[in-house]
Amino acid sequence: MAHRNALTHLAAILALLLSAQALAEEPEVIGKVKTVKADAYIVRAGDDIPAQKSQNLHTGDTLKTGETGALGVTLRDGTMLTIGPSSKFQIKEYLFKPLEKKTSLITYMSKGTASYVSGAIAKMNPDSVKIKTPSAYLGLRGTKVLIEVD
Amino acid sequence: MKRSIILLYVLLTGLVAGCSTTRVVLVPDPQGNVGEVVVSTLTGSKTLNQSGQSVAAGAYLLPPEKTIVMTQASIDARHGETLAFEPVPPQSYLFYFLHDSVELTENSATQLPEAISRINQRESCDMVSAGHTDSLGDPAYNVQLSYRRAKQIKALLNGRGIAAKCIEIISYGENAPLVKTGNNVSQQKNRRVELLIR
Repeated sequence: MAHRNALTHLAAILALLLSAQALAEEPEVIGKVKTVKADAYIVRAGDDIPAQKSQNLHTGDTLKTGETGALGVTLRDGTMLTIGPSSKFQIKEYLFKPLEKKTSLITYMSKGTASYVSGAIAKMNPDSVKIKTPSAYLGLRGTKVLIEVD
Repeated sequence: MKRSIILLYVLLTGLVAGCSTTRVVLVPDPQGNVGEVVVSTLTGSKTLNQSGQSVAAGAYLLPPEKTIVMTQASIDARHGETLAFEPVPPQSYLFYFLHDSVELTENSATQLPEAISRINQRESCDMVSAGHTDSLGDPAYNVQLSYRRAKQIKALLNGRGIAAKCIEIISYGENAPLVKTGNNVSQQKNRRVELLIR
């Protein structure tokens, strides 16, 4: 009996270790938070995570701010994205493999204000950079734009 | 018949136009260059290629409006709160190496302190040390050599107090030359590490 108990414990410990390892395998980091003014969030898997300087970003993340917030991020290829108050900007697809010439940066801005400075992806393959809003499509060729969606 | 079509059109556009408006303004990038942006809907597109040029789009079904030029005061009023929180633009340093070696050239060695003070000033924990070689020798060996060069820069920075976890290493071998050459060519400018500070 004691034997079986020990085995159950072992199994439980193993399960814990495995799940801990699964948690440790973070998805690919595509950029980092650089500037934050509360209230600013990273929306991931439905959760609003309060944004912090140096926080990692993943594909699918949405940058979101409340009435007083602002949030600035720099992506791996040097693309800089900053949103002002009451804004929402999702990074739907991000691929930056310069050696394999595989690049993609697809975003959706649903509301607010944003500053967008393109990086290496726009230089290498301008057609792979797309910003969509509820009323327009933007195609960028190595540049900086300010966007307002209301 | 014609009137009802017009009426339907007005109704439809009125509906979709009420949903959301996108306004885009082109401004110079941090290096002072003005690029180009194309704003499109399903029924038209406008190209902006001069500083301050701006266009609005009311719906996918409507063509973008007429292009205007926005004053700096208007840009500041609309975007000032956002612009105040822009990240510092990424910056890169080039370090050159002696032939088949992880030893820096004399000139590059003297540039190390400046890079370190810049990293500290930016409080960056988001760097890439990317190693490269020229096309002389075996490509597989060059991938190793460029890895050792990238690691060497990381070690030198680490030795001056920059946390190792803040520096990612990439090894390009001879695949991404700064100066394009044929195979098996010695080229000082390609024996390098590009340190990107984000």
